[in-house]
Order: sequence, then C-alpha cells, then structure tokens
Amino acid sequence: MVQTRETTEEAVKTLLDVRDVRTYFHLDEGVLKAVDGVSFDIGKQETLGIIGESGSGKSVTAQSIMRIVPKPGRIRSGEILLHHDDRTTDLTQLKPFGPEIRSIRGKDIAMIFQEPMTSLSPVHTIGNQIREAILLHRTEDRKEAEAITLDMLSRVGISNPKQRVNEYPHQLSGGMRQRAMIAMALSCNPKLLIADEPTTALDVTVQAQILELIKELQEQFHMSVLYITHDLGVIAEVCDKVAVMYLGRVVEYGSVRDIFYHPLHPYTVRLLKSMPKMGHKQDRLEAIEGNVPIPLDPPVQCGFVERCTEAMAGRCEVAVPALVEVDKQHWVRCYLHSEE
Amino acid sequence: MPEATPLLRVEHLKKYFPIEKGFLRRVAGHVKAVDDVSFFLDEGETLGLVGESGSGKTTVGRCVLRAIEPTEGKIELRLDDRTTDLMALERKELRPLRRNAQMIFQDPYSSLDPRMTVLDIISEPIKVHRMASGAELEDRVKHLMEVVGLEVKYLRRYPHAFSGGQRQRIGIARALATNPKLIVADEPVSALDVSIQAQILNLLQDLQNEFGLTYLFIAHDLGVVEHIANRVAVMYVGRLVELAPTEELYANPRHPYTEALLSAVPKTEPDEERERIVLKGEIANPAHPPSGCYFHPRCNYAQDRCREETPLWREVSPGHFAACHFSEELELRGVGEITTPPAT
Repeated sequence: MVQTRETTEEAVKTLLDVRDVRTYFHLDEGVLKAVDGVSFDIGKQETLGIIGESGSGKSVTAQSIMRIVPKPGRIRSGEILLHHDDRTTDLTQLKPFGPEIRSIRGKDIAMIFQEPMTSLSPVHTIGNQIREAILLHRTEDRKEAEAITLDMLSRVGISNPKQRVNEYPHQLSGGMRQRAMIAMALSCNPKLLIADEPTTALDVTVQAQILELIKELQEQFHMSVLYITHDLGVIAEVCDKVAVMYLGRVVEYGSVRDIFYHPLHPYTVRLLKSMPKMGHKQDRLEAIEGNVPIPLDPPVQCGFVERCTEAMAGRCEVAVPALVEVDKQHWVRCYLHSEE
Repeated sequence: MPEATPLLRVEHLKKYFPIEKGFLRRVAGHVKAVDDVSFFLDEGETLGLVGESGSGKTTVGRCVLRAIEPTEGKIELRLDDRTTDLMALERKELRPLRRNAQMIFQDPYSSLDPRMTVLDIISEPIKVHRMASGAELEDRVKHLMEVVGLEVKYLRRYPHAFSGGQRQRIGIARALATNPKLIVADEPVSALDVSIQAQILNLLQDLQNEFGLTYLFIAHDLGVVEHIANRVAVMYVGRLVELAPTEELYANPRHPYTEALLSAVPKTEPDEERERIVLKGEIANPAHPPSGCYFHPRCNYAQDRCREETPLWREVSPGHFAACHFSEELELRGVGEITTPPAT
C-alpha cells in the first residue's frame, strides 16, 4: 500500500509528524485557509500544546489529524505521519471513511472535546458508550468489556462506577461528564490523546482536577497528549512543547520554556503580555490592538502584519516568512529573526 | 466627608426559586440561589464577585437591578444625596431610576438583537428614557461609539458584521447610553479571546476613570478580577464566604474556600512552583445544601462544629469579612505562599 512505509531511524522517538499541512474550505465567498502550513511533531509520551485564538486554525488542525474535517473542508497538501513500531502511515492519504483510518481513530488516536454534553450520546448510558469502543477495538468478549469499562471509570476517579455505568450523561455533573469522556477515550490504550479545550467549560477547581488526572493517566498509559487551548495557564501547567498558531499558521514553535522565557515572534511576545497574571498586578494591560482577521482569501503576507508594531514596510506585507529554526529546537516565522 | 454613604448598599438579599412538583405544582422546596448576601459599593470603585458556576453570582447581579425579583432584602441606591430602597418601589416607580444602573452581558453574540442596527441598539435606552431625539440622538450615539472605540461609519451596520470584541463594545456603549452610575458587568470578557480581553478590560478602566463609574464585576477568572477590582467578594452556594480589599484577599485569605480557589488557578509560567489544594467532591446542590457551613464536606480543615453550626458573617480585620468558624485561627496561604516564582 502507498500509505505505509518502513519506519526510519529518527522516527523511533517520534509518534506523530505533521508536515506543512494545509486544510482549505472552498466556500461560495472564497477559499477559507483555516490551516495554511502547519508543522510540528509529537514525541512518544510527550505533551504538545497548540495555543491560538478563535479562528487560528487550532481545532481544524486536530480535525485534520483525526480526518474528521467537516465539509467542505479538505486537506490540500502536507503529510501527517503516524509512526507505529514497525511502519509509518500517512494519515492524509487515507480515505476519511475507510477501514484504515477507522482502525486508527479511537484506537491509536483518541480525542476529547470541550463540551462533553455535545459529544456524548444523550440516549445511551455511560457504560454503553464506553463499551462500544472496547468491543470495536479491543475484545469481543462482553464480560471482559464490562470489566474494562468499570476499571476505566474508577481510574478516572468516578466514585461508585457500578452505579454510574448505568446512568445517562445528563445525570452527571460537568466535571464527571468530562471524566467519563476521558474514560471512553482511554479505554483502548491510545498512543495519542488529542484534547481540544478539555477544561474550558469547567470551573477552576474542577479544571485543576482534570489536568491533574490527564497527567497521571498519561504516565500510566505511556501516551502522548496534544492539548489545544487558548489558555496560556494550561500550557504552562502541562506542556513540554508549544506551537503558537495565528491565522492558520504556526508562527512559533519550541519548548515551553523557550516560549515563555524567550518568545521571539511579536505575536507570542504580545500575547504573553496581554494576559493578566495572578500575583503580578499591573496598572494596565498591554492589549494587542485590532481584531483577529478571518483567513478568507488571505493576501500573501504575514498574518500578523496588521496588528504588529514592528512590521517592516516592503517585507512583511509582501511575502509569507518561512518557519525557521533560529535556535536549537526553537522555530519562528518572522522576518525580524530570519531572512527567509 | 462626603464618603459617608456608599452608592449601593445591599442587605440580607435573598432569592429563593420554588421547586414545583406534581400535577398541582405544589411547592416542594426552594433553591436558595442567593441566601442572605450583604455588601456595599462605594462610588467609583469596582467590586469583583467571584464564584464557581451555580454559586449564585449572576443571580445577585440581576437582583441588584431588580431584573429578577428578589425574595427579600434591601437594595439602597444613593442618587443625588438621596437614598432610595429599590425594593420598596413598585415596578412602575422603578422605571425612571433604571437609567442609573445598567448591565453588560457575557455573551456578545446572544445579547444583541440581530435585526437591529448599531444605531437602534445604542439609541434604544436613550429613547426609552426620553433623553434625546432626532439629530441630537444620532449625535449622542456617534459620540458613544467614539467613546468605546467603534468607528462611526458603522452606525447602520448589524451585529453580525462585527467581531466578538467589537460586539462587546456595542454592548458597553448601550449600557453607557443613559449616563448610569452603576454598571453590573456579568462576565464581560470571558467569551472573548485573550488578546481582545485585554482591550475590553482597558476600555472598562478608562470609562471608569472618565465617567466615575461604579462596577459590580462578576467573573470566575481570578486573574482578571485581581486586575480590575478594588475589593473582591467570594460566593459559595448562594452565600458570601469572604470579602476583602483585593490585595488583602489574595495575600491573606481567611476562608478555606478562597485558599483552594486561589491554589487552583493554573500557573502563569512553567517554572513557577505551585502547591495545589485539591478539593474533594463538587459544589453543593443549593436545593439540598449540607448542614452547618455549606463548605464543610469539601473543607480540609472541617471540624464537628462546622457540620452543625452555620458560621457568622463577620469582620475579622478592618474591611475584611469572612464566614468561617476558624477564620482567626487558621493559617491559610495566599498567592505569595502558594506560588514560588522561579529564581531569575
């Protein structure tokens, strides 16, 4: 098969390689370039955070990996390489409804969403929904599936799993629903968990519990996690590496320390300054003026140029800078830091 | 000294929602959404009201404006050195007073009528209170748009043509239209992107300085509240558990719930160390609250007394109120002690 090849030497430590992916939506009004050149990689057991505002393309990036991009969106180019122990699959080459991606989705890569109520079925019990995935991917023995379900529920900290297993999502609180969804996602021992704003709808005390839980389970299950969030606090809390997205592109990519202590891209620098930080009270916040543009037929220029105070006339508005490695494992897409 | 009476004084505010059961809609109990809440607001200050979902903070905000009818309590508003108890007025009598107190809503998408232009939206309250008409009205709307940082050329556009941040500016302009003294801002920035959040927070501060506004700022984000509020009140299951000047509350919390809330906020940078107090269980159900102190089932310091006796709301040090039996004895940790910033 075309999409399967031998795993190379350097890929052994990497689980997922995303290379210059572009996902476009062809609309009546024009081409919406939701994801327009995104590259990053996730190592085994590593945690990568994608941070961006609404419209930055962070969720479509996740949908592209899962191959669940809604119509009329399509992956136009790029590679998404999933490295198994013995082979490598390019996810962009699979049919979105084909058997290969269906054996990966839910098994190798699982996903949890922002609002559990909209992603859980309201007419099936929690237990039923978790069992379904187990019966599909792990075992055909119903008794064993039942046992795994109960085990998963207790591992995500749901008390009294024997009773909860027969309850419906509306009977659980927001935090418990998110736990149930995590149990479902992890029931098939995925290699990668994609968490799309998993705690945005939750209160701070519950958010702290859920982040802690994902961290613990990550160690137990030896999995990699991709966090998608707009919350810099969540990034600081859990991530090893960060990709900063703006208008469909990764504008900066590096270790969480590099991003927080040595940010290079003007957007990253300003974003960090605009956030009120508890315990560091300022008189006035340094806001980024202007609005996040919509990437509908975007001109060929740096996406941040209109809001950037350091934009250089004749450079930033005439070409898109390349994502360049300016320091070890620290990449930035800005003419201030590279010629390309 | 003119500071004698606060702009707003709320005393023993209660809002009980009946739980109706069966065919005859018999009242089977009450959800005590707001249960005996008292506070005041000085002119020109910002009081932050924080709490988790279900704590009743939005209900307090709406009761203060009598947007929903409180069950009991006093709401005294001082206008031109005359104090009026809003609760003693009929709804009709309340109308002329309404222009003094306005509200800013959380969701800029659902709080603006999609079939009204910006001009209609901002001018509506001015028309209702017959404050201006004709060319004067339009001039006033244009002025308001400039004040909140919207371009006047968009006067006849509809809300859908604006981004979230701009819509929130429209909502703010509408709230300012009647020259109010008090603004209840219910989570005004929580639906906005981080980079837009800062713009709106700065705008709210500028407007406060310019027009001497007083804010009741309802939010769940403790970082945002620390930034904007002079004093902060913490709510838990319909009751206030603590109220103090912002710096004091963040540095020296006197209620275990406040301590836990502060410790739960994600860290602001990767190298910061944070000791997290993980609370057991979840926020209590206001229809069946626990006995004694509502927080005792989740509290790490709870003792027998907490199960039996409701703690009194009292001033534990000047300007610092708390409702915990052990406020004076417990050594709770504030932001400075929970977090250790990295060595630079």
